Amino acid sequence: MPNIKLENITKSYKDEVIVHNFNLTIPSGKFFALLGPSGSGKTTLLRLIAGFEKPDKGDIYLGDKRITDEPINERRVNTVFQHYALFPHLNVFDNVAYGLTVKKIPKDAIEKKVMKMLKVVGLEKHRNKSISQLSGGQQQRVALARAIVNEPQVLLLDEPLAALDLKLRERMLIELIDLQDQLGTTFVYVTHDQFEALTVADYMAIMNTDGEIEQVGTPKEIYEFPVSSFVAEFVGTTNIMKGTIEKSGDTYVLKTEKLGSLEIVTPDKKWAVKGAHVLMSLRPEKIEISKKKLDGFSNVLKGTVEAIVYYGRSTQYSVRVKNGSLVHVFEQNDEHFPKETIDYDDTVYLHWQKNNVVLLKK
Amino acid sequence: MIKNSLSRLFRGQRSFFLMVPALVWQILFLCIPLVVIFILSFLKVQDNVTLSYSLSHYASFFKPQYLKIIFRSLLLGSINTLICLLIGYPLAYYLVFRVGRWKNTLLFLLILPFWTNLLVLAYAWFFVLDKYGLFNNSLMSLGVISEPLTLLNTPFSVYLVMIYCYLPFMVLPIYSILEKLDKRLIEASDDLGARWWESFWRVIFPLSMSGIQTGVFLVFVQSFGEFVIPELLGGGKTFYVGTLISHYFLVSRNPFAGAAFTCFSVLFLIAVAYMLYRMFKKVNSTGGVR
Amino acid sequence: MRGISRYALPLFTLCIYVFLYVPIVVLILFSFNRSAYPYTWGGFSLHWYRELFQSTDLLHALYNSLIVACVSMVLSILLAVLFVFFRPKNKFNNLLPLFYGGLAAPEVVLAVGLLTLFYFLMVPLGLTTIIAGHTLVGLGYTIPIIQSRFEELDTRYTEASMDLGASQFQTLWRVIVPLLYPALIASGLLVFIVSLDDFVIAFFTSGAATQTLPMYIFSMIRSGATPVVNALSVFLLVISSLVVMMFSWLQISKADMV
Repeated sequence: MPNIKLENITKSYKDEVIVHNFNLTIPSGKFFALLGPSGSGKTTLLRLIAGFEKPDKGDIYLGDKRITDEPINERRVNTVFQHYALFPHLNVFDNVAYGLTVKKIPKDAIEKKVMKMLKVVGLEKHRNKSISQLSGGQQQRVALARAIVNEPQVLLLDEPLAALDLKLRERMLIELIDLQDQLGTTFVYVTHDQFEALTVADYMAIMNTDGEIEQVGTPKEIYEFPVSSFVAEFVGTTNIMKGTIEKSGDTYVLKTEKLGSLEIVTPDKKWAVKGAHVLMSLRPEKIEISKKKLDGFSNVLKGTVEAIVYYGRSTQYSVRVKNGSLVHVFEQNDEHFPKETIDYDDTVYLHWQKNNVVLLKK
Repeated sequence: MIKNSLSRLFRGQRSFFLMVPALVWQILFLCIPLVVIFILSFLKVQDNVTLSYSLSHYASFFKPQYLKIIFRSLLLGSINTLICLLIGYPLAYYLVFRVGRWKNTLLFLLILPFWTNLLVLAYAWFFVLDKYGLFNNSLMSLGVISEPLTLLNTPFSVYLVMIYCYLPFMVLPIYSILEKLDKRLIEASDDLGARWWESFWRVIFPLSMSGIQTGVFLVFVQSFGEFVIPELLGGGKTFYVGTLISHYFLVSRNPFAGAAFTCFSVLFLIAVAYMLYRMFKKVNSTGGVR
Repeated sequence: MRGISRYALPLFTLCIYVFLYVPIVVLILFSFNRSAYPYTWGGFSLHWYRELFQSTDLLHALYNSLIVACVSMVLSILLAVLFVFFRPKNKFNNLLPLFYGGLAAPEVVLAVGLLTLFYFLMVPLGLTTIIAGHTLVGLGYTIPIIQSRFEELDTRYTEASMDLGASQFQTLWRVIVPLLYPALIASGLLVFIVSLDDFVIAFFTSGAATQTLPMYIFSMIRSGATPVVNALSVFLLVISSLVVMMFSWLQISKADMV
């Protein structure tokens, strides 16, 4: 399985630059997610790989082969469209068989391959149905089958689950992961939903609204060690605090405006020197909240509970602290009858360990 | 820059030149003939041999007999359009707003003559209007008249059959626009206290203006140059623009004068059409009829 | 509440429909007239219909008209489909009005233009020249209808088809044409009927030797008609009715197109 390389891609649309000197290498055989807000250009990149658009500048490589000028129908790349684009005048079987039919593959070979694929997606009993008779989830599976039966080197998925309801979406995500495992094909999955991306991806990239990549890495790397506040805030929720790096004796601290000095670990980044103005990202689930001050934590802040949202699995508290900002805390509801109930307007203490924060440049 | 956009054009779809045949067709059979006519109008045959450039054709058309023909066609076009509008609009209105279950049937009955061969329709009227045809026969048997009326080969027969044939061209665009009108606008107008004729003049009529425009232009332009009906029902004595053009090309075989007359009359057509266009523009910009 | 218009409009409409149909009804009635002299009733007879179908001139003219209509229809559809599908997206938009020229200009002007063109290119006049003119007008019908139906189609069908490996032609044939089917038929029918009915273009561009059906009727009217013309007219009326019914069955009416 070859990898995909996008080299110095520039693409504009009607005088608006979508991506500029964009570079990305998508590793082969993995489930790769491209995550970003609407307008970040992620769909454009997908269309460039598929061949629906041609880059103004730059090249696209499939392994060693330069495919920039290769027409759509010659690329070993197949797409699952957002609204499926299933052919309404063909039934399920003919839709799935389409790619094989146009390549003039003999009929019995088509029959075997298509039925095998229909079995994989669980639709072998529906082969003669027309598209309009299928539910959203079933149509989605036909679209998948139609693409995969051609054994592409790369499968592109453009927000394929956007039209499905939550439960179905969750189930399909697992099925997609299993499918990719089974096939070993490179999957490139474009979405604006960070939950989807984190779930399916072996490897992912985050794009911002300017069409630039903010960070590339495994879901865990991106979540736990974001490189910018954009990433920290786009993927999951976080608390951002501003301050200056200071050193008092052997320990490093982040000197903030009103919240005092917060202890941090020894910074290992080049720009994190004494006197540098930086941001600190602290994930809500890394904070321990309690009405009594607890021992054993490097940092403690005091505040008042302003909002409580119950999520079933967890509860989110929004706590107003001394400098006026709101700190969010996630507590897992791991006890039926918790020892301590926290209520509105309670005074609480927020505790966290110094190695659970990430320093950010911007 | 042109090279850039051209290369982008070609990169996009390799077979884009397949769209060209249709364009070639239009250019070859529409544009070039018009250009040829235009050029011909300035040419003249001298001594049956040489061709020379000349405006003499145009000059000769400024005589009263030619201007009378043009005026006659303009009159035909205008009156035809006007009557078709006066008859056609209420008809369309009735079909859209007042007719219930019969709408499709009535529409079908309206469209049928529209799709019937023009000559068949002209012949039908021939039949009716002839000296001993239906109309005269019935009037005579009823004792209303004693002598058959000469109805054919008169301006009357020409105008009558023109209206008959062109009515659907006026009704259908107006019907189409009225049908697509958002009925809730009328409900809003009624709700705000307007009486039905106020709702009509203030809401329905202005919004149907584009349909009226289409109908008027369709009918006027085509009836100005109408050939068949004046030829069949007008008798050979009076010329209209259409019949005179035909005469030049097919009878007197003088394509140069014919081309010149075609351009000459088209000029008048364009002038009047332009005035109509300005008029409609003014009506639309002042917010329609008050 | 509606006052006078309660009775005025329906009455008015009735009068108009009577006006529209009296000649047609009379025409039909007298096609069954036994007597040759057209205006007196001589009893019921079908012999004009028999004569109609035995007249070689007429059948020849009918045959010509049908050929011209079929070829013009096919050409108009074909050129339109090629144009609509292969036109690069959103480019050349301002060329579209070019195709309305066939409908906007007075027919006489188009006809003499074609005549002079053929004369100077020394093209012999005949069925082919008529077809040229009819296709020209036909494009004015097929291109707008097919274009608008094509735009309604999801552009992703084309992309999906090519993504799955189909060439442009395969895409056109396997996906687009089947999905455009109603528009193709509707606009094709339109062109067929317009061509069958057309007199002006045929009259000018047919030359001395060829005659289409409308031309035949024209010469019959000129030379003194017998009720054979009535029978022919009824025959054409029936065909028109069938086509209109087919058309409304396809749920696209000329009103929409206009």
